[in-house]
Amino acid sequence: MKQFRKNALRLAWRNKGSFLGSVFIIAIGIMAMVSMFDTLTNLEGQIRELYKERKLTDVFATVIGISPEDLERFTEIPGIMEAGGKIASDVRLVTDGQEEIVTVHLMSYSKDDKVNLSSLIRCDGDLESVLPLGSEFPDDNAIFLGTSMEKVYGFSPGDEIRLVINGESYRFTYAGTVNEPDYIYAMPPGGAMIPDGSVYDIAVISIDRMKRILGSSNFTEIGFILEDGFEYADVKRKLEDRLQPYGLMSLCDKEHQASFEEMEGEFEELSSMGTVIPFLFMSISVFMLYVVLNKMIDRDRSLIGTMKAFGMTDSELMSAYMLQGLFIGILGALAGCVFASPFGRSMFDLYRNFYNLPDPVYYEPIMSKVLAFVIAIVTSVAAVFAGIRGILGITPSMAMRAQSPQVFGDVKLTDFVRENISFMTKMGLMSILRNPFRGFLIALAIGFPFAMSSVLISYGPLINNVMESEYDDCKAYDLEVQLDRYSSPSKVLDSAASLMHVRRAEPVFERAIMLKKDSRSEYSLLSGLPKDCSLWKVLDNEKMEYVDIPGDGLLINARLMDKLHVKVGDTVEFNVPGMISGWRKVKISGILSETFGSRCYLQLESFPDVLGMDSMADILLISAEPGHFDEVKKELYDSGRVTWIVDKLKTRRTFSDMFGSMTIMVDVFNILSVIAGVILIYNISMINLRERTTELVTLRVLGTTDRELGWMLFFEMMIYFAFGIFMGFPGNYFIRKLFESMMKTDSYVFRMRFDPLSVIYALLLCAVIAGIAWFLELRLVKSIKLTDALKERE
Amino acid sequence: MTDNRKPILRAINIKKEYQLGEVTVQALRGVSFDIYDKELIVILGPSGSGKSTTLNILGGIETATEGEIWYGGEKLDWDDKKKLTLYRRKHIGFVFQFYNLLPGLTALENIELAGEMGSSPIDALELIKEVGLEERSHHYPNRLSGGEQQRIAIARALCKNPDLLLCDEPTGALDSKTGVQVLRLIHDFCRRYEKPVVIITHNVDIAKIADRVFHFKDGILESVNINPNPMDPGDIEW
Repeated sequence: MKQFRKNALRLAWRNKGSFLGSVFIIAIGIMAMVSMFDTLTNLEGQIRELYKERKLTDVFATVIGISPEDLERFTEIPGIMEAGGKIASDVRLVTDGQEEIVTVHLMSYSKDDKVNLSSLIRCDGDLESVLPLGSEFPDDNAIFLGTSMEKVYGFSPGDEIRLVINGESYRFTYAGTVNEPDYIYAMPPGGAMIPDGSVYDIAVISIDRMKRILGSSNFTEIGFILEDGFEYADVKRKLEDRLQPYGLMSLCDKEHQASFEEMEGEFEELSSMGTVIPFLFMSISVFMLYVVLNKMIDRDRSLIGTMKAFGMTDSELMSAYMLQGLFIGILGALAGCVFASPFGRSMFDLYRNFYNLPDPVYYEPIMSKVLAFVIAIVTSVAAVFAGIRGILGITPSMAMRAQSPQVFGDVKLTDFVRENISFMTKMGLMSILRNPFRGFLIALAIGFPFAMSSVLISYGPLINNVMESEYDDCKAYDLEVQLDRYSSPSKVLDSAASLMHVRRAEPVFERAIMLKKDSRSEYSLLSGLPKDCSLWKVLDNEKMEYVDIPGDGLLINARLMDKLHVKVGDTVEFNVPGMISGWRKVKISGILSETFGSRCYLQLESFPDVLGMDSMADILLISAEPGHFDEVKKELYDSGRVTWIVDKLKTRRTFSDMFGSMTIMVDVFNILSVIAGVILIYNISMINLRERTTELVTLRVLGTTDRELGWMLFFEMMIYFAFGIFMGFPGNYFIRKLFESMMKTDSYVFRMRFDPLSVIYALLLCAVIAGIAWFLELRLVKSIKLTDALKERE
Repeated sequence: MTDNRKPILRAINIKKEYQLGEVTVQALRGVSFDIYDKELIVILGPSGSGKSTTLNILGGIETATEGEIWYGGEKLDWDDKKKLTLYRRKHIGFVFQFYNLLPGLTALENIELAGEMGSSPIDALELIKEVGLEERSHHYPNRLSGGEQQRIAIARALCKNPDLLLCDEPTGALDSKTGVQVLRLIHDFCRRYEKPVVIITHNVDIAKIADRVFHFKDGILESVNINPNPMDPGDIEW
């Protein structure tokens, strides 16, 4: 038995290319799995720990103002265990040499805070120390900033930070960084969906100072922790009713809180990608191992028969081959785990750049490695078992005879074809038609990298398309200026009139509103756009056409439609916190598909008729005269009425940077899938070629020239290539849908559209791979000694 | 006996060495002979005597280390692979011990394949009738017996109407009855088309049908026996 095992291993060494290929492909899958799960474990573990330790609430609300005493009484509502709040406001931050309007979401800190507790990290030179829970705020003048902003500006302890609040300037001393459980993902205002520490982050000062500055001790951001056994739905209606008098502006459960939702989306995405990508690569590996082992058993029939004749059992024979699967699995897992570490770390670093992570330390979880070894070993051993199960059917007498080559198809060529093609083309054609399974394997080997690459290559263009449609086509303005209060559209426009070099300006209304249909209610951002708005066009990204903003009802996006279960023509109730008291009715006039958010739209001029409120605006869209962008920005920067400015190009750049980093990861997977494709195509081609060695050498002995043989193999490869590409299209669709569902969150949807250019690139890539495989096939055929091959029995 | 005929092929001092690791094996140590039209030559010899190597060199599927092969007044150039391929294609027919039929082609298509390579082929249908397998013409090799496969292989070799037919142990894998059938086909080709045939075999009985018998031993052509009265294949048995 030991000797047979040795023999099996030596024979396997002859197929080392295929085996090493399988090891490599397994390693890719394992690398993807381990790196993503390790990143997930690191992110999720640290963030959940922060949630728990810092008492992240189950329900979040924003109100115009509620006193701590009134808020305390909310614990009387059945199901509410704890209630707490903070005073918060978006304010401008000013530092030396600053060129942008920088906004911070300023929050109060008190040692008596009950929920959503701040984690203050005090900087003292190079030393950092987390202040224990319930600590006194170190200094009335101190300010703690979010880690993203600290990273961008590199503040040192003692640096002066000025805040402009209600037109007054206040001085603070930078003391360190802060993590808030509800602001890990600090969403900037103005529709920029990703954090950008250079223009927006959180900041914390003492509650006493906050009260003095704002002249109010009322909380504006509040949260509730629910008692065990209670859910948001149980308390929602009561909270809505009881918070209305305090100017309820938004109310949501934890699952819909911006930061929490975003992080959950990230976890989900990492988890799905960590499952799907390894699954794809492991499948290829299983497929390849199956084919290699299957062919190996065919080749070893006589040997197996001989061993059976000697009295060796099926299990003894099988175990010798299974050992190979075990080695492959172990080597694949080992290599995958080794590569996963740097890849996981770089992914984790990428997240660190965008999120306010509490403890940016990457550790190596053991569990993922154990799981990786189990999966790699089980799948490779299973693939080997599937490949060699034919052993069971071999009897000693059968095995001592050579197996007749199987011909699956009995297809005859028409006389027309026979007479009009060269005989080598005919040979190739018959070889394809009569061995459809062999052709299927090669076509599949071509189809996989084609499908994978055509989708992965389209990721970059997809992002560009989203950017172009969002920032070039829809948003034709240069600057989006948030004013400190709502005014009539004409007044808002007047404020632009005093600015120099403004080519066009348009007023926009934006406010969170609540929509309700039967028992369902959702918050949405209402955008009121002028009837002939030219600086902000609304695009339906499903139909890829601009949508006219209705004047007789709301235009809502599809996500909101799903949440409210409404259709065009339905009437919903709405409430504009702080502007309209009670509920009014409005018609749904249209539905559109958008990439981001849950917005709704209405013509600004129709507010009185449709909403029963005056037309108002708080945002000014500005398109600057060519070459004067910076001057306009500077003028706005000096204006006291401006709360913040969204520089469209900068936001776009931030988006591009983030997606650019992701594109690098996607490119890595693209390269890996191409390498897997090369290994797959090459190995399957070679396996099939070895099967046909005698056939091909016979042709050479009969006088077929190298050119003719080359043409025959080329013709076959062309047909397999065409079929592979054909099979790759459904694969492309399947992978696109898979990626789409992986990237879909409540706040955005990426439509992975079919991108013809990416398909052409992928096709060329696969053509090159197929060309290389053909060249190597030809080289192999030429290298076989004619005399050796003729001694082998078919 | 002095032979005044003009040889169609001359082998002059053919030597062949193989390198097996550090050992040099001398498969042929200087073999010379001529092959004439219409004659059937049988090469006899034990394993390792150099007979297969000789056949392979004659057929242009192996090159000699030293020596020359002259065919039709032209010397074979061992270094010109293209010319060797054309030589095989135009002039040589092969019959192998293990048939080497193409599994993806039917019996008839296997024969037609060779016809398509030759410049003056013999009709494939006629040949398949001659080998008695007309009814099996659309069967694939895996559905034919060993004898049937070898008859198809012979028909394939004959189809391109080769100038020289080389047979490597053509009956080696067959029973005696089928072996005789196969020998008859080869013999008939030689006589009817007046083309030379070289058969290598271990079987001394087959030598009885030859015009000349070459005895090989240790890489040397030890002796050449002329058979004044070659037997008919039907009259031999083993």
